[in-house]
Parts: sequence; C-alpha cells; structure tokens
Amino acid sequence: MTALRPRYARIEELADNLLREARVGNAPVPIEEIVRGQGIVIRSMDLKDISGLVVRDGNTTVIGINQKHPITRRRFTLAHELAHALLHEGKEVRYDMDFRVDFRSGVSSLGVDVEEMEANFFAASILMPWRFLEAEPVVAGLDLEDAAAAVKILSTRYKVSPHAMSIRLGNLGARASAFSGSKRLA
Amino acid sequence: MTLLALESSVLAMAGVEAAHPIYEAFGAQVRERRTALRLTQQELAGRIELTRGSVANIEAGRQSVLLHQFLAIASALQLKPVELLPVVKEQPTIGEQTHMPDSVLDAVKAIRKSVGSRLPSRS
Repeated sequence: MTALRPRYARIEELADNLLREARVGNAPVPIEEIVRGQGIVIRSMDLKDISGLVVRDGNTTVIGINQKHPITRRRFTLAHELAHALLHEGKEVRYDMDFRVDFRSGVSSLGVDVEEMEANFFAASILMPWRFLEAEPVVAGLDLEDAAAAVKILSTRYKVSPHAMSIRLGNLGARASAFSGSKRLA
Repeated sequence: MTLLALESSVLAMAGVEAAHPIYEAFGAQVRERRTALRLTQQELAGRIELTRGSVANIEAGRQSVLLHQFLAIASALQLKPVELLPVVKEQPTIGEQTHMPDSVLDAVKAIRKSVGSRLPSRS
C-alpha cells in the first residue's frame, strides 16, 4: 500500500535502527555493508539511462546500480533503492530512471511520487544522520560566510554530493528552528 | 551564529557547486524563451536586477535560482510561473506499466542471470 504522504518519522527511525544494528557511529556511512547486512545482493552494472533498480526474485533481492555514475551518486542511489526494498514491498521490479525534467503548463502534473520522496528522505537520513551532523563542530559553529565551506568539507567526509549535503543541512536548520521555537532569522 | 541561520545561508550559497540537473533544464528553457523574445542576456538581467553574468550562469544551469528570482524571470519572459516550472516526470508504478524500457528489461535479465535465478525469465 502506498502511503498518502511521506512517513518521515518512521523512515528516520528505520535509518537510525539500521545504523545502530551495523554499529556505525561515524561518517562515511558504509552503505554497501548495511545493504548486504539486509541480505540484499548488490550488482554494479551498465544501466544506460537507469540510475538503479531493485529486482525481487524468489527469496533473493538484488539492487543494481549504474556503474557509470560517480561514487557519491552511486551511494545515494544504493540507499534510495534500499528504501524501496525495505519500505515498498510487492513489486517484482522497481527501477529509477535518471532524473528527468520536462516543462509542461499543467499544474496537475506537478505531483512527485510519495514513494520517491520517502526513498530520497531515507537515503539522506542514513547517509547523513542528524545525530552525526549535530555533533560536527563545523555545523554547530557555522556562520553564514562559512556555509559553502562547511558543505564542501561535510560532503567530502560523508561521501555525498554537495547538493545532497546542502539540502540536508538546510533541513537541519529548519529542524533546529522548529525545535527551539525561536524566531527565524530573516 | 547558529543553526537557525543555516537554512537561509544554504540557500544563499546558490550556485557554489555544479547544480542539480533540474537547473540545466530550467536554464535551457530560459535561454530559449529569451532568444525567442529577442532579448539579450544584458536586457534580461536589467529586468530582473541580476548581472549579465548571473543570467549566463542560470542559462547554463550553473547557478541555482531563488524563488523571487524565478518569479522575476517568469515575469520578464512574459510567462506564467507555472509555464517556466520544471516538472518531475511521474514514473508509473510497475503494476500500472504495460511495458518497461529495454534498458530495464536488459538489466533485469542480467541480474537474474548473475544470481543464478531458477525462475523463468518473464518477457
């Protein structure tokens, strides 16, 4: 069954449990190890216009990853496909095409698949866990001028793209504001 | 300064790194519309209070765009914002799919073979 909206809390908990089970306490998160720990087979392969896919075959689950993509992208795709494997059961084959955009004028086409949102949130949660980031001195002492530098340092340390890290840090900022209940800085 | 400022600071670092592919698609759309309207980058820049260099970067997909800039660009290009909005294509779920792309079928076949599947491959 597809959830109507992303189950963020549940997904963060799942990512956290997987990290604790695998005794991962710092970055970069060994995502391949975690995936294999779930009994899932990883295949790096020539996938053309696909970034990753999950194939369920009897009792075996295989995740295929596009070997031509850079390591940061492959790690994110692997985590993304792991989410599909764990959270979105029932489909024998599930694939993710390379990111595609097109331009249309209809508002009705704006929808983004809830399962895709969940898989992306899971990937961010497991590769860039809040509790790791919150413990980073460069995050705690961050100021505006240093944001770009911090993203660079952290994306290298966590082996994720700067784009993924900047989104995650932005959410961390939003989360911190929500928790403290303080006024947002303009 | 603390985490509270982080969100806006991250937004402010727009364009620092190679942008998400969506910006390339957006940039190409901006360029197409601008040239169709016979505007120079300089002229567009003047209408949206950015430098010509920023317009060039946006068109090349090298620079992320803030919401107010996006709206200004749409207005300068005489488009409704929604007409300039990049849309993520929805992927039909497998159950609804009548047919998978060849690249997917090939990959599934290769995967089944590599794990020594005893199940018959489906066509």
